[in-house]
Amino acid sequence: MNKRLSVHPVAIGFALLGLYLLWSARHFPSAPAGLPGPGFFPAVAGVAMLGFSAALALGRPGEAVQWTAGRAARIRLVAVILLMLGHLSLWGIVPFSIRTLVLVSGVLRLGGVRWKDAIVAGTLITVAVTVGFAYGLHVRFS
Amino acid sequence: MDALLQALAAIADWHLLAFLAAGVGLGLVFGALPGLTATMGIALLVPLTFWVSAEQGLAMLLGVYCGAIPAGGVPAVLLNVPGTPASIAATWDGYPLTRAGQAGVALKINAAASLLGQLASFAFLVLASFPLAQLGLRLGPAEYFGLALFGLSLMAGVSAGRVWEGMLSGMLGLALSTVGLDPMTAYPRYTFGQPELMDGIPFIPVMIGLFGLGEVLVHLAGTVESAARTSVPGDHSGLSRRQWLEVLRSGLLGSGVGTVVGAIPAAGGDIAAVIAWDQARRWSASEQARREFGRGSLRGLAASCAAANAAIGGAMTTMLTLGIPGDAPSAVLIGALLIHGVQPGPLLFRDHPSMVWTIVLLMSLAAGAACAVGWLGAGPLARLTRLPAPYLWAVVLVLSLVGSFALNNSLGDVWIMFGAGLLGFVFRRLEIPLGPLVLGLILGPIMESNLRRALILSRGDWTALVRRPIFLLFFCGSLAALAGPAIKAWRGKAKPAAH
Repeated sequence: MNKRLSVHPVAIGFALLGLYLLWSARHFPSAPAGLPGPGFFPAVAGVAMLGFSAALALGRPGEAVQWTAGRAARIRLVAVILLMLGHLSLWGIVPFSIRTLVLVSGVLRLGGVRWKDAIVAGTLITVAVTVGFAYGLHVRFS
Repeated sequence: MDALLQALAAIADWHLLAFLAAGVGLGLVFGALPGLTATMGIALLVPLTFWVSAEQGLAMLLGVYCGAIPAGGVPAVLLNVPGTPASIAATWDGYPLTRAGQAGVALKINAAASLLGQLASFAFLVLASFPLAQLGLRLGPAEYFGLALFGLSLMAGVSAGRVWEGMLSGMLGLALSTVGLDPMTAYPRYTFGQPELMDGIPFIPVMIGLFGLGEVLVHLAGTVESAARTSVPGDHSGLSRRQWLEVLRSGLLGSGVGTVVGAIPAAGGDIAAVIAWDQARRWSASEQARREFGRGSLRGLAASCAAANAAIGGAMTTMLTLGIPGDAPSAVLIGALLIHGVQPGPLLFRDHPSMVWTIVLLMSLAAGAACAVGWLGAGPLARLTRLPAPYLWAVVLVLSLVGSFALNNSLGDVWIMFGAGLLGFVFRRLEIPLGPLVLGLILGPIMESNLRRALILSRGDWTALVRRPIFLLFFCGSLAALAGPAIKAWRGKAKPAAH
């Protein structure tokens, strides 16, 4: 997925964020005696974003952006993101060790490792992390 | 002299040295694993010291402190994931060196510069504790605001030719730092009704996401080549004598910066490392040398590693002489000292000088041990980059998940890490620098709270700020740091970044 993407959308994105910060800052309560209130720093960040976005939009022509190296890489990237989303979404529902084994084995397999090696390595990594963090540092994963 | 001799006698005890070694070992683990910090390690081990003597407990805790900071540079160099916040600047030059096949050299520079930084700052602790601590006390809210502003202004310098993108990234970090309860009025900002955001966006999960998960996603997208070759372990021809001298010079500069910044309460190794990196760049002999910064500069790596570690001695100076913690780990150490009946402050030097010497000697030994492990382990650790990439991705991914959860046992932190990872991927593809975002996130709260405090003290009089010479110095430095790169960028002379 290679798109010719001008930096202007980047500048536009930040400019919109700056406008949102300015707009939201107006709704924060003001402090007494002219002192900066809760909206001061968001407003500062918003104004600065607008200024720098303008400078970026005016100063640099559009450039091509290579998001992934090809179709296979795109599938790999999306699959890992979905695996992570699944891991996080099932937190507290499915035991940590099972979720982590699936995640790690999946990542290894997507990286080209054979299924058997992926499961073995996934098991070792999961056990090491579980023993180290859950038993060593008493981190409760569920 | 008597105090020094007493201290030497005290540490000539294998029980004490065993506790120190255990502390260094644990510190290396805590420092090398993203999500685990020196502060966490010290805090977790304090209860264990209840059952041992004050010296033994102190030895273990100091071992953790002095071992964790150098160890944080290892994943920063190898994986572009800072092990501790103080190692963020080490990623800027350390990781490019790894990608160029110089991982072993980079790790050795990390080990050597860390030792240099710590020993230089400990010498300063012994020689000049009081004047430096007194200077730190003269800093009020205006000066802290100026220091944070100066630190933030360095975002132009770390943007490597993408100045406007860097500034935008910094402003995004500043905006993210306003999420949570307002520091003065406790008014909720940008929490969207989520209780997890009341305390703000935690910095460490963001750091892990941007640099850890983000890096993994970039590799998965298949647009980055892994390091093809690492330097041969034990191969001293990796760096010439002239290069080692340059590393030494930059290390000394970093040590000085780190000691001074570390002595300022609440200004830790992260700020010190960034300032030192920028100063080393500015003081480079040639334009070509300056351009190397951020692309694998040996000087940049040495300065940032030395400064991050020198901040330890600076923080301990303030803590021991005034009883005021210089950074988060020293804040926990104060508690540990009090538990064992040791009261930090001016009276400590008068009534228990041997304790001060004991602390200095223990920290020096710990620094040496950490350096030895780092130096000897450089080769084997560098070989890790030869592992097939999927195994490295999987380990980094899992450590990112558990590390961000382990901090507060909060699933919200893991979601923040995940979001930061996606943001890190997008920013990398759009060539928007990440360093300024991290700077804004760290320095934003310091800037805001201190500016507002300063204005409350001056009853809203903004001109009161410029009447304070130290603030004025930092302010002028900030303008200079911003103006140069901005003018260059406007004239179109800046070249696009290589990363």
